[in-house]
Amino acid sequence: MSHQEEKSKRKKFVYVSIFMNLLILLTFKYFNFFSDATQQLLNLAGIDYLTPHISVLLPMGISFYTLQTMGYSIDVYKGVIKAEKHPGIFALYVTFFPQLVAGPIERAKTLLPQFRVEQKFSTERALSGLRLILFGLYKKVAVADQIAPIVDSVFANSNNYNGISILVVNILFALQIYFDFAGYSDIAIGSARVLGFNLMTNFKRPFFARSLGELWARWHLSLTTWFRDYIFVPMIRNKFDWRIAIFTIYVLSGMWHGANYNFFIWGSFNAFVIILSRSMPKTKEWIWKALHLNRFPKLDKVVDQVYTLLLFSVPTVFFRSATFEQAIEMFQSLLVYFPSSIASISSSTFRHILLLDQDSITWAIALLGIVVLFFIEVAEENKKGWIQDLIMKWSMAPRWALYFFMMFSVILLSGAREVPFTYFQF
Amino acid sequence: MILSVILDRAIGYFISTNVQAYQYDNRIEKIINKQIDAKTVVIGSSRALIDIDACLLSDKLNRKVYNLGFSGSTVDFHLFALQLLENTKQFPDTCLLVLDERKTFTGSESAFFRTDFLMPYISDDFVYQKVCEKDKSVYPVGLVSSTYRQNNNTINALTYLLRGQLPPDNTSDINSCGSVLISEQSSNFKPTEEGSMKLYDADEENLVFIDAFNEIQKICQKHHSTLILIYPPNFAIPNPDFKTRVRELTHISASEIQLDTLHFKPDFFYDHGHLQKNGSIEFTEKLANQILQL
Repeated sequence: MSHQEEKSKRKKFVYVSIFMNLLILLTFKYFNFFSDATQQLLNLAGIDYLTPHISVLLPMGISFYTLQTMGYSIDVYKGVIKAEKHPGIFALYVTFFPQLVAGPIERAKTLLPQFRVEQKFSTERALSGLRLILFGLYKKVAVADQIAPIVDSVFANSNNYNGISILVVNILFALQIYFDFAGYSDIAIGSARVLGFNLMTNFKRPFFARSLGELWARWHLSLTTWFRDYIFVPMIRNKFDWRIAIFTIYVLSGMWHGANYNFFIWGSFNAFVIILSRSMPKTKEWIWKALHLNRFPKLDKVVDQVYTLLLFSVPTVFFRSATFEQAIEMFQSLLVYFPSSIASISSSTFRHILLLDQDSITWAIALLGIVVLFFIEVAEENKKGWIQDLIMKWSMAPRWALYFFMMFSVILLSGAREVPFTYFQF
Repeated sequence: MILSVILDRAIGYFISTNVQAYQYDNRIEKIINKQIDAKTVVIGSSRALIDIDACLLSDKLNRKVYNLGFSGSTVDFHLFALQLLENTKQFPDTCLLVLDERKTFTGSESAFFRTDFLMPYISDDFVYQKVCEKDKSVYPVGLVSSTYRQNNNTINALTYLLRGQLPPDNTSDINSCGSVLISEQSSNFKPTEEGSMKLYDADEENLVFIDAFNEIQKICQKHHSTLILIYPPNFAIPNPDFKTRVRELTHISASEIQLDTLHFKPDFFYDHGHLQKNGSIEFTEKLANQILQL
């Protein structure tokens, strides 16, 4: 492709590259899903034919490096970068270990040039990377992994819970998946930084967002910006309706996470809410006036953030559920039994309905971690910086107190059980 | 660096102290502290723990007997109990190994080796090595970091601080001789149905358990300790194939005491595989008589 000077002549090569990448992804990840969907259609049409299935292990990180290599091909086609001629450097770009398994999905124009720069060890940079790794481990081990048993036990016995209990577990799962993935991203970025490489930021405090659209602009940035740059923007440039473009990228984003109807519904729900909120921008103003909340302007931001958290959390039941049927059942149960579940909270039912039958010590450990990270993120949001940099302005005692607290929390809480990184399955 | 070492040791010590205080059944601690002053020990699973009244047996045999049966444990755990006694130089003169027809040589060792009984005592190096071997933990890291070594005990240590000692239950309410005697009968016990033991299938044997049984014999032989194999009563028809298999695997002169063919009345049973207190007393008396005749 790089030998063709005209863009039009490069087109066929980029099509081949995209086709090959998608073929690999579709074969390993989506073949059985489409096979089942075809089977259902054939059954509906009364045709008796058994569609084939393949039984292969999903290569680790395939969803990530496939997008990364497609992005490279498209950038070469668009002339954003020159093609990388060195096979070793290109192989390193595709398989760079800190970000191979679960991202961040890097752009060729930011990562490839770094491999041609002679790296010299820098103590300051290495320490910065190690700090980031520590924060990442804390998010994953001391917080996400402590929330996981609560979430797992509810989803394993979902028939025993309804109404507000489902909402509580959805919020917990939203927090779990954020801390799990943000923790992984910190470890990946920190590891690369120790080696002298800069990877992109993947999360920007998404739960401080004031709308679902803003949340997605702060969440898994390497994926959302990839969909924005390579799908949304070209669709808009090709005069597609913005609603169709938004629906496309959110459904694709959902399906990128998993090959089943749950992720389709999850992506569609997010698309629907964003399209609705952008189509009716004055809705919130109207609701606030109707509820007389415009008398409390200071509440505005907090209400937005809580509302956004709820909008994000509720559909996570589709993300987490083992089956489509379970997701529908839990979603229905949340809506149908919500008022009655609140009404039935009492001293004898509190532990079941709100504590989800979990021990107070389990909750205390999970909540402690959430509160610590909440304060850290408040500081980051207010100061518009990152804790690993902000902390360098502290005096030695509080700084090392935080390091020791996090380090020992990770060591103490790592023994109970091994919880794989959620995004490794993608 | 020095501060982190001090903190690490302090946290590890804090957890270790509190988790040990949390335990109601402290028999492992007694072994480690060389407090098993008994020439005869009973080893086995809950069959040993519940069916044999070690205090009564002590009186009948006129020597100190201590019960080291652990509920839900497998024969490799029984071996470890003997190895721990050996390590602390308290190896008994006589070992009474209670055999469980259903589980002695079959099943999954990873599912049933009771590392949870050992976890509170991993500050002891011998115990820690065993736990690492079974749990695939990183042994050298635990030598460096006391906090890492104790991390599995964090929750129990915190529970002790907030709620005090673990209340005893039917598997941990030990008496002064290490036995548990249950007064009531299980609500699931149907005395009208006398079951049959499943046919013994050598294909279901687990080599780990076979090896452990061999090692028990070797360790007893090494210490010139008398090994007595005991078949306790079940509320079920015993399986002769299991006894045949035990004899095939026994290569030292171990005695057998078969009391599984006793026709105990249903009142003596807690459930199909365990005796309740009156049954334990009756069984222990018969056992004592048989031992005295050996």
